[in-house]
Amino acid sequence: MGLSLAATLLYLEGSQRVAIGSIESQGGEFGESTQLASAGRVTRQRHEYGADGQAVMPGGQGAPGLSEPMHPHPITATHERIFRENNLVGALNAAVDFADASRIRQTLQVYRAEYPEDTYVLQEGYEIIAACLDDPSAATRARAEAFWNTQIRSQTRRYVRRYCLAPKRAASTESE
Amino acid sequence: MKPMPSRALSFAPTLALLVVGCAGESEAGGLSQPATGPREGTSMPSLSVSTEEPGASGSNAQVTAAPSMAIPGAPQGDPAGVPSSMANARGSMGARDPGTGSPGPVGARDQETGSTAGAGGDPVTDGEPGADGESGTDGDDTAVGTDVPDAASTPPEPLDCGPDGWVVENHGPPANRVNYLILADGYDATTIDTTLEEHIHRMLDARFNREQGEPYGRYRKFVNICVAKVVSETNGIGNGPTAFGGGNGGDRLARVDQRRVTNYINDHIPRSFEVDWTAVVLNQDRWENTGAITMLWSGATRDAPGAALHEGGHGFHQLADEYCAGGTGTRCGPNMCGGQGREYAEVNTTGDCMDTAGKWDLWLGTVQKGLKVPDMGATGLQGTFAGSRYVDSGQYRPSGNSMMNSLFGDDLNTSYNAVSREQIIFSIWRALQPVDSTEPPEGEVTGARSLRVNVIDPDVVDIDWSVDGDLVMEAGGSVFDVTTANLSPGTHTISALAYDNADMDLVRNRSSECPRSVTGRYCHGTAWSRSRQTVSWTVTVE
Repeated sequence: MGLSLAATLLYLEGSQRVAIGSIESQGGEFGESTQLASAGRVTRQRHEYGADGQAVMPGGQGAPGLSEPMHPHPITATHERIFRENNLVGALNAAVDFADASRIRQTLQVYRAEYPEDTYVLQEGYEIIAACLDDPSAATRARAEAFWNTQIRSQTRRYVRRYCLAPKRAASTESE
Repeated sequence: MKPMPSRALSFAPTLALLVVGCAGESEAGGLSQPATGPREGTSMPSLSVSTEEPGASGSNAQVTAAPSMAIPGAPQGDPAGVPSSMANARGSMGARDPGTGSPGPVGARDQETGSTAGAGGDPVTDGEPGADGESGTDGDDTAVGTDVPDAASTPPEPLDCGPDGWVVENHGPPANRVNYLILADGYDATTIDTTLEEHIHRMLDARFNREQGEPYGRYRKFVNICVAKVVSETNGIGNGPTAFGGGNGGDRLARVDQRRVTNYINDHIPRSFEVDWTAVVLNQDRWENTGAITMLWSGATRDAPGAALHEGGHGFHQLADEYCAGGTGTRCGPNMCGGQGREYAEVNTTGDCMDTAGKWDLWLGTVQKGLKVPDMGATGLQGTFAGSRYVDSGQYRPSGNSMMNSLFGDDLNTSYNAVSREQIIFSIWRALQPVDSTEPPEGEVTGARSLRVNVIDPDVVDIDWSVDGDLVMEAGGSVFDVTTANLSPGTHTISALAYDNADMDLVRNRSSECPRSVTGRYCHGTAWSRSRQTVSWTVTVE
């Protein structure tokens, strides 16, 4: 971004704050500032600045630097990608709650394209739920059972159970 | 118990909906935006969902048990016929004796005191393969002369967290609890029982004992928590190999090796523990946290508990960051309306300052009460505060500050605001139903002296009892005494409606409809319907 930020280094001499120099940093790089934490003591904090010029919460156990506006973290493409996935999962969950197989598949297509890694095997779980909603057959049930048994990591297991492994009982209720 | 002559259920009175003008309003708090009434009980259009899930026991239990065995601990109303191989999951995974499972103080306290009725579920059926079928949810069963035991002091069945598992919170059958799994990374043999536990307890203290952690405190018995004490080769992150390869993900993000995480879960977590939330706590004091599907937080930072709550808001509840480009908290902008912007999927940010695109219009103008101490409040006025989701204008947040904004420090205004709290409650209910079990099982009963409904937490879930369709007790407790009900000889239908007793300061969107702005994208509001469940018996009085 090329945003130039200046931070002044201070030290405490008696009761006076004395500027001893300054450093320049580019946006996204580290800046350095000093805070007067308590009488007779100077604490130095390294602040990271985001592309927007906003200081970002420093590491370590020091004070969080409340003397200036501070973001918990910068906003980057990586952050946006994470939140995009959260939203896609949320959209899939909503489609599941509405038992809308078509919407599950529609959203799943986007999810597969954008997040092919799928380490939690969520995509297969959603696909199985959609299949169960469309065709609650012995075959889909068997697939769901196998998934529930083996994909312990998947946060879709509860819903695979709900939508694939329970409807048979519901059907029998109706028939009675 | 409060005898009721007739059905008298209602929620808070509807408040007037006022049209709010926006132009020219720019001062903090200067725009009074009145609350509208509860969005409840309205007709459900095409996008509404059924109260009962497939197979739920919402009616009189004329349910045929699945031919195969049920998931251990599956509650009534959430049955699942699953293969016998699944039914034996607990045993096959080498369940640990809870007495040797190194429960920490939190889990230990719960075990010692026992849970109130319902938290432990049905001691007969919970946790046992085939519980549903055996318990008589099958309508063919007829219980005779049932005498209900005192379940109030019955502790939950032991929770199996796997071979490395530390049972931190065990409140009932995993099939009817949200299951939160936390993996440890960067803790070696010298710190796994010390530093890790310290980090976890700090997080738990914020989660359960502070206003900032609400509504997790209120819904504590709805969530089981397992911590996997996986010993790393080296201590601390960045010092050498660790169990899950934790480290800096760049830009204040933490990272782990996702393959190692998911492989560990597949190989070590019992099948009975349906993982809803996954997190990794990193043994480091760098400010590196991640709000992804795998939520990561650095356990040693000063604000680590806040980070765990904030990142959980992203990863588990799909909440947006509420801070702006120019800063955080009240620095971002006042309660105002000054232009429209893009509408994103998250429920806690809007481009529509007129009515929030239906996301939190019911909260506008309200002042959030505290859950620990109501009069102490939390995030204050709920409105449309300018600046959210990393921009200063055209995007609005529900409160001046909040947990999804500036999470730092201990100020009450870093609590989850009303919109986020509601969302968290919805996403908890999405996984659950109120009733763990009934005694006797639903169905035909002859000569019963009393009927019991075991709910997740009787402090949160109230029960209304009806006889032949007439409400006879509102919030009447877990037990219905048949012998004192003056029932005439013959057959009667006795029903219990279990429901979340959250008031209008906590949940306002009760229609189970999605706001129009998020329909088709994301909405947990549909889950509120799951917070109401009816169970029934056909009782023959001789």
